[in-house]
Amino acid sequence: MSGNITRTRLSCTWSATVGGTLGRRTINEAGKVLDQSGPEPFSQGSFHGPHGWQARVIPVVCDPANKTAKGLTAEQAMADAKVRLAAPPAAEPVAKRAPAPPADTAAARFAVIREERSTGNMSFLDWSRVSRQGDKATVQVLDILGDDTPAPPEPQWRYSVFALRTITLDCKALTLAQTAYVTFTKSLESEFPDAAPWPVRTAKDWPLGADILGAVCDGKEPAKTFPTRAAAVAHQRAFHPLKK
Amino acid sequence: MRLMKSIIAMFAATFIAAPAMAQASFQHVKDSGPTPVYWDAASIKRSGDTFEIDVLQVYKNGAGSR
Repeated sequence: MSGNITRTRLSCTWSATVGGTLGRRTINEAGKVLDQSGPEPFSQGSFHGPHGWQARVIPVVCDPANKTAKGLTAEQAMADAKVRLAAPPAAEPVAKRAPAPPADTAAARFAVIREERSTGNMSFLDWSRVSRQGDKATVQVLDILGDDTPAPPEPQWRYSVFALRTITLDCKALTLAQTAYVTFTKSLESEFPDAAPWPVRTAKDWPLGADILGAVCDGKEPAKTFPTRAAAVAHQRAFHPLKK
Repeated sequence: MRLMKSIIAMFAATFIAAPAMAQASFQHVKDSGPTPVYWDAASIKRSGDTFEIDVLQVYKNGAGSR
């Protein structure tokens, strides 16, 4: 039995990794470091799905009110894992496919709700798909990470740099529950449209979520919108061009 | 001599300069799938909107196995 400790940088606002792995260590059952390596030379940040540890850890760490109780030492964690690994594996959840995303040329009204000059990241709310019922609303949000992958002949890995999220908002409780999620690669290839539920987020632990709540619950549609997803992507790529 | 220095440096990097794991504060991640996963609350280093974190994944027979 061995453990891999990976050091990663994550963004609270974008719910995404920032760059690649910062370092890696392998430990044995006693928690002793057996080997280690440094940061990856280059890695593009990417979004993560609803099944990974990031979906569970980010809401906790990004909550300013979070007070985590004292945890386990490396040796204790390895002992705990040993017990868990000896138990019969829990049934894997059946993958739930979300509806296919609209075509990138489908009519829409995407408005910028957040942009970040330092990274090129940008988020759009599709006002044509805002559905409001009292304090509840269902929306679609397109998040784009600034893509800094070096141009070919460098490898063009399939990082998830676009995320189209379907989110149910509660304007009274100020919560956001993501119900569908599909990512796209740099070349706009769609990945699995996933309907697995995510942990409920709040305006406090998700700055972008606060922007979404503010726009939908209290705001009104801005005059400037983009008529398709392709037009929104083109706007982001003018803001943060791909490497050529 | 140079080779000997390199070997000593590698040994030090691996066994001496390694972070003190005793200071860790690992929290189990629920519903993380068949591989036990823990995040280290003591490892968090914040910088504006981002944070660095150590995450431990435990494998029965090395990485990639269960």
